[in-house]
Amino acid sequence: MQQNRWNLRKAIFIAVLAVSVLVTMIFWFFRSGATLDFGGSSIVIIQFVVLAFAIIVVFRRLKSAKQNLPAEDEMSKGILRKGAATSYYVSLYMWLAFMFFEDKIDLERSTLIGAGILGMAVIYALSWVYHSYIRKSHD
Amino acid sequence: MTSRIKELRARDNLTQMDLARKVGVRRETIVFLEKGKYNPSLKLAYDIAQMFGMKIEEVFVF
Repeated sequence: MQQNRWNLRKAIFIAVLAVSVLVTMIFWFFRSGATLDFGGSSIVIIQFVVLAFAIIVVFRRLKSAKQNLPAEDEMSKGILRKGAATSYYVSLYMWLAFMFFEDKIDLERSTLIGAGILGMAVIYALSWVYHSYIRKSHD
Repeated sequence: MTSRIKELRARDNLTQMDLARKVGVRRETIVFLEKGKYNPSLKLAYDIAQMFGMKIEEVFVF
């Protein structure tokens, strides 16, 4: 029961965070006067992917709380750890590529760092999906 | 490593959800254990064996 309440609180926290990010994102987009060209639309798409990941996490937690099951157990924690390790490894190469092509990419340094951080989030989401659903064994 | 969880669950008339609740894991973990795609920790293996009133080596086959 205590665990369930904690799961519910965590799910609500993630949902509130996701909504705040969405609102900030929309606000920022209209405030900055950005247009929906290739760069602008790809950043919006990446942000939506990250938000979709948060929504999946909230949905899973709420489902577990409803079924009176723990939101996390040793296998799901293992998947999170493996996902984090994989995404860290892949992100290193992404940053290396960013550094290598820095002169060729027509973006401000702060925008580039923002894109890198978003990229890391997407890589983490993808590696979590890979370890959860695609990889055949969870050892 | 293989396990006899599915067989023992059927014997005791338990669903995957029931077993998951009793040992405090997600249902997906039971699914992967039954398919032999996840090796449990010693604690989880012990809890599952206790649940069926058996020893670890009688439930999990190495």
